[in-house]
Amino acid sequence: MFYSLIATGMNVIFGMLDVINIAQGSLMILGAYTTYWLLVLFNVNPALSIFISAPLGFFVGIFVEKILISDLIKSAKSREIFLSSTMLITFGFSIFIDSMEMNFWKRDPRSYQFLTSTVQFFGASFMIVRLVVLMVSVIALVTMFYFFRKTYFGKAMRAASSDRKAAMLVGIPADKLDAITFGIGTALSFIAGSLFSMTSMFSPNSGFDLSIKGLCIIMLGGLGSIKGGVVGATILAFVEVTASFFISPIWGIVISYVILLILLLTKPSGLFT
Amino acid sequence: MALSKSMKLIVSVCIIALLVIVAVYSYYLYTPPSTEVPEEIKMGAALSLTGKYAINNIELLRMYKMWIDEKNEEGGIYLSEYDKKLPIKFIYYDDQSDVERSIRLVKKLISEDNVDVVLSGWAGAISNAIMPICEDAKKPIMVISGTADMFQQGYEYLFGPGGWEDDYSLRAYPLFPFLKNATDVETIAMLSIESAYGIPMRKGVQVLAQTFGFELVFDESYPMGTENFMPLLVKIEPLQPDCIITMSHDPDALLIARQCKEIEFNPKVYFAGGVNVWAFWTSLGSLSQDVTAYVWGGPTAQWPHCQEIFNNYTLLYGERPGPSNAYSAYAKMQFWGAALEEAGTLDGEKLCEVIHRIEVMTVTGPIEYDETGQNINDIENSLLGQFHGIPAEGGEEEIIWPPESASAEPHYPKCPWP
Repeated sequence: MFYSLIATGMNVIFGMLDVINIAQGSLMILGAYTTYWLLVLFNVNPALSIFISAPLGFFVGIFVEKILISDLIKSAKSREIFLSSTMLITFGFSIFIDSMEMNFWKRDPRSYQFLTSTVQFFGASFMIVRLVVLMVSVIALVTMFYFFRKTYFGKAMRAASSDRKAAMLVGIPADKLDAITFGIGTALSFIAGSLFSMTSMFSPNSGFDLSIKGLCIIMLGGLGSIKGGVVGATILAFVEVTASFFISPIWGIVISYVILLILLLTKPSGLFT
Repeated sequence: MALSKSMKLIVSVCIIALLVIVAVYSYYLYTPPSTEVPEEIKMGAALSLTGKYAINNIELLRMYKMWIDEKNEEGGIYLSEYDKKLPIKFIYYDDQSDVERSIRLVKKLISEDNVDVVLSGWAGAISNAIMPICEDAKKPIMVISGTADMFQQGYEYLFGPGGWEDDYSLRAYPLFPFLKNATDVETIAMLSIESAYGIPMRKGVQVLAQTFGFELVFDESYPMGTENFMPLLVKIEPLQPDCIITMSHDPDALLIARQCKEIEFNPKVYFAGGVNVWAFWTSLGSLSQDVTAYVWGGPTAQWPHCQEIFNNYTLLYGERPGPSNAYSAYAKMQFWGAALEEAGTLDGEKLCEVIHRIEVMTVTGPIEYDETGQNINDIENSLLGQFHGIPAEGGEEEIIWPPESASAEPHYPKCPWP
């Protein structure tokens, strides 16, 4: 489910702004640290910390967009230049985040024990923390769907992403929406990070691999498609688990990437675009 | 033609002057230069402080620094060649867990920084790659972790952990006499990581299980970065093995233990091999109870200064050192200190000869290298630890095997997951 959230965050940003945010994984780890430190320093329940980490992520996203991206949106001479420039900038930004985390919080791996007792559902045993992760992820994803389909802001964002000039002509403040979009994408990363910290050990270096996996998922599902992010993550997870069970975990990864390769060769734009 | 008197005088003066010049030149040419005394002993390391190997290298760096600071407070290391104590300067770089980068940095340390001693990072794959450079430069290196083929290549300047046989490692040894003598375990399931660490450990467990007469009912490996072990655990659980062995790195080991708890799979012995950092136990929390792991040091180990090292590290860094690699790093430094003092020089060849010859008592037990560069005491020095209690409530990883080194009685069978 982390991957669904990280991929959805990436897709929101790419779909609306045309920015492939390589820093998404590092931002996710920043969210993980937020939850970790809230627990360690202030004894805030990790599940409740999401109500702090998500808004924090939103404002971090707005700040990042204003500092790193907004000028490029106005000045880039072509889409190709914009795409490559923003990829490089966000890659550099991910290194910056990792380095800052290392300086402030050292390189030590962090984790904590949270809701490890189990409950039974239909004969199967589940750790409560995994149900929390599932529930929060589903709520976040459904909220995203609702936001972009039903609300004025969501519709305005989609309009601005389809035709920026036309949207501005009808009074949609595209510049402000860019920042809000980046804020929403980053908030999703922070939520994913908070959830990730509940189940896994993390350190400042954990972010880059997560970004790469998120990138694979959105390529599979389709760049810019929120639905694609969720379906892409589900397909990759299903293939990995099934192949791991019936063949071996090593083949699980090989097969999932072979499927990704075949799909990109036959449908380069992904499943849902 | 007879020379005039004045001309004879000039020729005589010239000859005398020439003789003086030749004499002075010869003196400087053939008199050996006076020995230049270095200002310090330079120790250098390329450590993986970021990237996939970072978790284990952080403790190494801290232990190296701690030992160097301790030595410098004593004035340094006495070298008889210069008849004085020299302080130690430590130069280190982050190789970002990248083999190629590590090779470049070790070359830089040797050729540009002119280090006298090259220290090793943790990661067999990287140690293996930098060995030829140290060998060419005649710089002995004591590696923290090795790979199976490392000791088969005839390196003269390589020193490292023992227990390597052809292509496998016997470092899981202490578990097996414990299982044989103190439990009624008959069947074992094993999960191991596909890495320079996991592959030889897996083969070693296969050999040990056969030697000690245990049935290996499940034996599979998984790639680095695996984030879901359920597909494997649901295959293991119906087999109901008496013991599970995981040969993993800390983040995987944590996930496997949590997922075992999730499906309430609770074998009589849970052995988490490859667990190195204290954060593993704090993260595992109440699930730590009765989980076993091998250790090389730790506060409950019998070797001299173990408790002292533990106290100093905890005071200095505000957290506890892990019981394995951290202590191993400190032990290597203790050995370096003894080797330098014994050799009395910074010459690599002489140091290599001394390292082969001496035996040094360290915080991981006595270290003595055989002709292949392996510590001949490593298997005997290995201890089996078992976590008793809960980390947050003062729980401790007690030594349970061998009995003569034990700090507590083993808990068998393992208690149910809380």
